[in-house]
Amino acid sequence: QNSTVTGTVTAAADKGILPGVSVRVKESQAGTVTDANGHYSLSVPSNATALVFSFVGFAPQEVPISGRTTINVALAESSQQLGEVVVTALGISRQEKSLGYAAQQIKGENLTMTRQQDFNTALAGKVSGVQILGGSGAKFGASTVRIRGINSLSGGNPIYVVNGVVTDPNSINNDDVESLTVLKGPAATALYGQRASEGAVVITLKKGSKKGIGVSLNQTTTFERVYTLPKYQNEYGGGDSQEWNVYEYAANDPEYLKNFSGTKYYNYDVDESWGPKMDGTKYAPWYFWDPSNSDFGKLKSFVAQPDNVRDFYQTGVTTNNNVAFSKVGDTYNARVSYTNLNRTGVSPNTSQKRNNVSFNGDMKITPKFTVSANINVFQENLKNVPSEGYGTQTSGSFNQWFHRDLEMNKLKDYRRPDGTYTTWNISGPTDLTPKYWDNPYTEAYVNTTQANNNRVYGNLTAAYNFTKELKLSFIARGDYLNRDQNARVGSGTINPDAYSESSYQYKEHDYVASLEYDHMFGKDLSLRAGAFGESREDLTKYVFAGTNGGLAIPYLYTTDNSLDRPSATTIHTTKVVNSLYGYASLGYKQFLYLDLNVRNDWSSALPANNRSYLYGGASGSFVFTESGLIEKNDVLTFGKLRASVAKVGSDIDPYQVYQTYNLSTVPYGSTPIQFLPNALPNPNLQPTLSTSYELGTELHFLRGDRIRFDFNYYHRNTKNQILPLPVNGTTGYSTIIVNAGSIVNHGIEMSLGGTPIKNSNLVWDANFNIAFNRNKVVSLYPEFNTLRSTPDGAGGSTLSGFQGAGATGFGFVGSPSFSVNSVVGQPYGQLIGSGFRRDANNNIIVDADGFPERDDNVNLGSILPKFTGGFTNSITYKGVNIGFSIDYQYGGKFVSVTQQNLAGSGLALSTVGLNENGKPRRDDPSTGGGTLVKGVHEDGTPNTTFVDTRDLNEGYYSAIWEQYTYDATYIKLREVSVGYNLPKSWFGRIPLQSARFSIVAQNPWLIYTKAKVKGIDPSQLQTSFYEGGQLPATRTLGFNLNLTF
Amino acid sequence: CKKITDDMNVSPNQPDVLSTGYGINSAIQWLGGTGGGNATTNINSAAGELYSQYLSETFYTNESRFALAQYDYQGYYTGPIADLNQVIRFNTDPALKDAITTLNFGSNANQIAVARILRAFVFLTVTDRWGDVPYSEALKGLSELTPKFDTQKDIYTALFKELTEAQAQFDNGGLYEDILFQGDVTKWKHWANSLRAVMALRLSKIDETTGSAEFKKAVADGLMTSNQDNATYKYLGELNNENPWFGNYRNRYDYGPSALVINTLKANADPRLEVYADTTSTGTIVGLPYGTSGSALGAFKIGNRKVKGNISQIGPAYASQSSPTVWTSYAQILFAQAEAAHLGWITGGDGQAATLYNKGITASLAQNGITEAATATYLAKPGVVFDATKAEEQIITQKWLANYLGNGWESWAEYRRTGFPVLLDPVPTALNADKHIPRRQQYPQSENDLNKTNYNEVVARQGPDALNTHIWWDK
Repeated sequence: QNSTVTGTVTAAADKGILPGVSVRVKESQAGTVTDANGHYSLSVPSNATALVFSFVGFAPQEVPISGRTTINVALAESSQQLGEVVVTALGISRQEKSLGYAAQQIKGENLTMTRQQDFNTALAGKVSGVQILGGSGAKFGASTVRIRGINSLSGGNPIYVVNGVVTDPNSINNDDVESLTVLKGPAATALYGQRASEGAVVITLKKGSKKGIGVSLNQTTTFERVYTLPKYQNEYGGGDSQEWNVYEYAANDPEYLKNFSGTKYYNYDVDESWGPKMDGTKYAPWYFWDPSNSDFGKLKSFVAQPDNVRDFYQTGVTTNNNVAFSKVGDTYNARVSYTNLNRTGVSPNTSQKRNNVSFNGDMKITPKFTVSANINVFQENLKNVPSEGYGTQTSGSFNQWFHRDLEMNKLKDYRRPDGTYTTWNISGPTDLTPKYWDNPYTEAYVNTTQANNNRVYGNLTAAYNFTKELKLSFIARGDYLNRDQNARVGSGTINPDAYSESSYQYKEHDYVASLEYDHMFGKDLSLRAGAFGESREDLTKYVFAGTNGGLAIPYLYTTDNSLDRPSATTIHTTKVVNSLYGYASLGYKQFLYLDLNVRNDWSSALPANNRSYLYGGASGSFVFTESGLIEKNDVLTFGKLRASVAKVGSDIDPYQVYQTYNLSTVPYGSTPIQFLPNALPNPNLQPTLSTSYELGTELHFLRGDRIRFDFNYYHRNTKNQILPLPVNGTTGYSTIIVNAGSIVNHGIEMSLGGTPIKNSNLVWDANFNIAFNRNKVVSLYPEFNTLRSTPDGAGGSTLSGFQGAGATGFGFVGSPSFSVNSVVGQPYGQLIGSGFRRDANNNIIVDADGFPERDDNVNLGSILPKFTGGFTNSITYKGVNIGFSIDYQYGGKFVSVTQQNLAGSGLALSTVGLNENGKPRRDDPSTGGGTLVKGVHEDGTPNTTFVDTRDLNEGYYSAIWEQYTYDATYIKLREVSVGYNLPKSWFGRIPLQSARFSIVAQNPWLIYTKAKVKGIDPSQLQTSFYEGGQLPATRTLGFNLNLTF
Repeated sequence: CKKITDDMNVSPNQPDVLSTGYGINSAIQWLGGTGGGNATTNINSAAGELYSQYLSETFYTNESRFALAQYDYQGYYTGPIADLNQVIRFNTDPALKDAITTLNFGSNANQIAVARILRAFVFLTVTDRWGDVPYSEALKGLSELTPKFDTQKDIYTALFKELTEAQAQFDNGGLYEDILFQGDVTKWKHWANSLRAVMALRLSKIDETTGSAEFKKAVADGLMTSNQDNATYKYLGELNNENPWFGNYRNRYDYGPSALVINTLKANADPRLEVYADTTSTGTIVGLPYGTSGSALGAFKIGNRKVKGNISQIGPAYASQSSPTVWTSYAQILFAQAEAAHLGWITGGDGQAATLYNKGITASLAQNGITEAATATYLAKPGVVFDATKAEEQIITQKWLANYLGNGWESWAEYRRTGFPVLLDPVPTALNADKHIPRRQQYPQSENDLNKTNYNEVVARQGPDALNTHIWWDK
């Protein structure tokens, strides 16, 4: 027998009505939300005892029904989040106030606010001290993050721990994330051991949250478009001369060309745009000469195609569907979730398909014995993930080697009837074969790649509680990845046709036994302690087979169809790490806390004598507002001081200790080739240890936590790193594996958050964070003052294909290059490369002919930013929620190889227009054209000599990297979402608890960049110090519907 | 918990011993170059062939206009030299020298001799390109991370010693799996002595006493005696080991024979013309003037293998997939002897010089498959007949022609030493400061970054680290 209860919910403070408040029958699924007037009406079963009212920012309230049919409630604003629980290392839940180090937690709903698919990008701006190293969204892959600057001379990434399993951020399904905690320093991560030396992101997956049955459905559709491209010039077309060529039929030319004498054309085989002016002249485009083309023999007006590059890219569409079921009973808890992602990219013929199934549940077999399991199945198919970088056939070509007059729609017919391929870069009127470049559509549709990833990871846990205080657990964790890839170079394209296939298997087994104890001594002293034994084994297996020298039979893409002897490779690795570790947490009277932890690892990758290493830390927290030392008051409602000191160790990948003599993958015919590898192994390696300490405070002001302030200072010194020391090749080696160096990072992280407005109509929650990191290379190896470094990691898991080889620099053969260096006494990441020669007044010095002079080895600045941060906001107004996040970076340099190429090949806007004489810049200097380099001669007299614009860009600027070095400062509106809780009345009798519709946008607005270079988004650079032929940045707009039953 | 054992960290993927013969072949293959690319370290690198003006660039003309300055020699050290040092170690170390993985490839002495000859050949190439380079302190790994630069003079002295000892070291213990001379130790010996002669002649302007003494010793120990002795690297008919000009002619066609080569050949109706260059679309043979750049290049079209242009491509004998390249030829050594005779270093004077000069031409023509009749006709041309008053120019010019697309570094070195043949110098369109053909190449960036003290020292001693600084023997 049901009865109906109605009522109004108001705010206790100002008596204003509260819409959107959740009203539930206690211990049941029945519930509703208040409407715009704060009213609710709920059908209540006769056995119901109470209603539960809950709303963001207010304390939940449980009201007994006691037979009433009208229940009006005034909700009090929630007080300081004293009780907030944070998941820390090893998944241990801790009260936030008890932590002696900075740990920032993000709720899953904030991660999925704008339905960003990439887990790391979704973190942008939300956690202080975490810098997102973007990369274009067009790549489908995960970006990387850097926590608290660079601690390692060879880069490094944090680990991602999902319910205890260390896995890849690519295989985390945002829809399943309950919360995540970013652990930044050694004090927080020491219990994870050596893998977490660069930080840890601890992810807790959703469980069934409330008693009974829960069902939620989520559907997202987003549309992705290219939003920034370089500024191209639209005055001159392809070729290398402003003069037209005139075709004259010659005796050996094909018969079908005989009527075309007198036709104007430019040198199609030149892949630059230093050609004739696009003034409407009737000329022969590349397809004019192709008898199979529908426009064969038709002249065309030579006019600009300002959008030709943009026309290549299309609108990418992503649909993401998630359905999750949960059921909670007295002795069990289960959640099953299924997600399906279907995505097409902005580059033609690129797609990603993904299916995730996740199970998370536990069962109380007896009151003392609990078994739980979490299993995540992840299956992904990637088709033609677009590549980027110098010389890649699409993005690389458009911004480096291209013609500004090309019509993209004429290139869409990439295949001729006879099976050969068209190209804009034909060798000449009588020769339609490609000179340097295929048609970009040939690249997209013929030179294809596929990758399939199958990953299963999860854990099985059995826990026995001897008493309420003593628990014994056994945990088995596993992470299994199977990845297979294939790639083809099409028959008849510019490069020899090829086919290769590879398969990569990664297995991690991890077994942990633990004993945990939790006890109160008297009323005031609490103790929580744990002891753990762990054994971990990492196994990889890689198999590759590929053709060599072309395909024996064209169009048959198999590895055995190889013209020359095919290549085959197998690589197996094994690494075992055994560990013992433990912690003890002491608490005194809810205001004084002390944590101690210690860990010893034994690693098979280290030499026998140095295999075992011990480290650990201590941290403390003092909540002075609870200590009785100061009066409780409404101004400073919460205050805490924290301090920590810790040491963390790290080791290496296997097989870097003993010398091998490698078999070359390129034998001389049937004769094997064996060589000494360029990296010298080291039998005396020791583990790396880094020491850090950290001091911080957290303060809350005004009743209801209107203002929250967190301040943290850290200092970390990493010594004796294991690194491949790049050495002078004249030693016989390129790198030597050594323990070397000392690098110090120290910095400040601050966040200021709060709820400036909180009334019945409007709740505004805002959080601003800023982090300053200062880095100094204290020492390198003896005698070394400079060391080329790999900020993007040493190449890491190249076999899995997720991370490219770390680059230390970039340069063309024989030309001046630029590189990233660690220089003793300076911050990490000094860009060193060629620069302008300057006089004492910093004027550019030009030679007698007016061309700039060059100095090699100029310090162009550090790649590390001065500060980074973000600003996140959530505004709720009458059931409408608006969220947005901004992130920013100040300082840090990068080099744009794209800009260098754009200018050198005449594509850039800077190569056209009028010069100071009012004459076209591209005209001959002898007729008043040319470009004047602002500078002085050696003797100090100002330069007045105009020089040829092409020579300047192609021959001089192209070798001066300073010209293309930019400041990475930016401010970006990264995400916006506008959501509305749909009124329940719209759904009639459907048993909906809530329905929410939102409009989401990612990358909507690059608000500011200091570089002011169009086409480059410093927040999405290809690597952390340069980009070249990068994929364009994209912007996404879409909608999301979330239904909860 | 899985027990950790020491062997767990031993790589199952790579061997822990060197099969020494495969290490020797690694060095040889490295110098020939792999993958069809023309690395800047190949013996027949584009840069050397361009500096010698055998070739002109058809479109991107940076290298032929000397815009590239820093060339990297580190690969020579980490590649062939490091491998050869290991070959020597495995053949010397008592614990390793009797291993089957060593003795399978011949006697210890023979393998050591071969490794020393190859190593000397690499160092000769390196010092002739850069001048003073690390030698005595190089290749010591961790124990010497900043090797000092040895003077070129000291390096030459050391290489004379190395080659002299190595050629005397061969025994009857065999040599197997040798991809350069197929295990013929006599040919190795002749090559070693011929390299000594080449080096000796290099000293003609700086130290004639040493040069002439070393030359005589080299002759006494036995130089190359026929084209069979040529140090010929054989490219294979597969992409990974193919001729780099063939690789370039897949689609790029960056290089064509220079007008200088073509016109020099035409001047005397040289029968090698049709071998060195292919015909144009109209059946003629036309060279591309060296240094042509910018819009002036628009008039020259090299075309491709199927559709010829109006300038010649490299002839099929030199640009097919398995076309060999000759690092040191019998003809070259005959010309070296001709010059030595002319200089009075060996007996016979200009009469002997003329004989050797004619033998050199004959050897080169034979090497290119020219008939004896055509050779005789050519030798009789007025522009070919030996003229003692122009001995050096004639000998070096013929040596240059003989060495077409062989060891370009060698031809460039001989140009620097003698000023012959008469190349276009300065190159009007050049992008380097003085527009002259480089006198050396700049050190790699790594010396400045990682070896600053020694780098500063060598710059102070040798002169600025620039293309126009003359090296020791080039005075």
